[in-house]
Amino acid sequence: MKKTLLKSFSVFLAMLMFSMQTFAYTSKSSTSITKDDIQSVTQFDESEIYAAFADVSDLDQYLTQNDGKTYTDISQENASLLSGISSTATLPYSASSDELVMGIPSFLWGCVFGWVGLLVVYLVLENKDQTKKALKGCVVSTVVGIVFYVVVIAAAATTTTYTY
Amino acid sequence: MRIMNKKISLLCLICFLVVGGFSQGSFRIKADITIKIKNQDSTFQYTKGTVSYDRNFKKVIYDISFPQKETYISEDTLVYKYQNRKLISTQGSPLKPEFSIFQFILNNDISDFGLKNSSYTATNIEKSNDLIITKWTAPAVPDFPLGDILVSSKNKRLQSVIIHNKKREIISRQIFKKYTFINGIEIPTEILSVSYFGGKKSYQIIQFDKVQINESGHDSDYDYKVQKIKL
Repeated sequence: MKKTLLKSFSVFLAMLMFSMQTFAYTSKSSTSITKDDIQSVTQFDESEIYAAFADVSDLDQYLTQNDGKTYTDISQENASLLSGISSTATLPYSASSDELVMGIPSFLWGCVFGWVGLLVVYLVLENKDQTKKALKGCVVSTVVGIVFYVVVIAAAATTTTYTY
Repeated sequence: MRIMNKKISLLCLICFLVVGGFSQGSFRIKADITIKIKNQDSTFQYTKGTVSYDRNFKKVIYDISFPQKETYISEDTLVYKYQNRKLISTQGSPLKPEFSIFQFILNNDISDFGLKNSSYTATNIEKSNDLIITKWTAPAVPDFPLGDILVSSKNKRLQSVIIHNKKREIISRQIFKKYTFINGIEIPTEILSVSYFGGKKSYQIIQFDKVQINESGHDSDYDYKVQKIKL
């Protein structure tokens, strides 16, 4: 009888934790996809992005026709093509001038990629504030993970049937 | 009847293995790459070359032809820059190659933008015409600075990713376009992105061309062996 009561109480506590989390979660953020959300996805005019690069279309064309030409070559042949263009290379996922890696906030790096994200922010930006944000993200992600595990283990333990 | 069921099961299993086998067997990718960036101050960065990645060697190799002939090797959390096979500099890398888009492509696993394995939760799915829009909600943690992420896909191909801040303002938008289907995997050959900072925007276009999957031979193109210490 005592064992049954204890089990029931444990299940109740686990359910309570789940529902409290769900309540806190739904009260803070809307999970529905609004009309604005759909519009932001479907109605973005990507021609804005292509238009931003209109000034480099001549260089594009030149490099397609003259494969292998370097910045130095073109500066001697047709310097006007290089107006406003940096002489240094950039790689995908390199840090932006705004102290954000890939334009993604440091907190998210820590939160999504854990210690790797933290290391990324630290190495790339060499900025203490951004590294702290990544650390916060890392800690938050770990805490959420631990809470989730505790709840799952508690629920699993209480629903296991023992036979003696 | 039982034999019929067994035959159908066997057929399904074979189909599954064949389809799965295509993507599982993709281990290396090579493509021409062009990266264009327009910074907030309206200056441009333009980079052109070839990119190679082999999941076994875990190195992303950029053989750049413009603006200068140089080679960048992204390995672990570092990027090594070489000119004429001589190490020029070493700097921190934003992403380990195992987390790069090239790994996702080879895994045929870019449809959810990697959010499935993050602390974000898929909380809603809507269909708008032929687009499937998934809302990924940030963890319910006080002071979490980021908001929802919207991921849209069409015919199981990732189309766009929109990242919001906590005030529901868009801070980053990425569009994946011009897919090509090679060796059983979907490859976006154009990635457009806009980032928004304090009312200003920066733009980026990444284009892939002449994509090759599982190129035979040419191992040295995928496993660049040079010194890692300046001499």
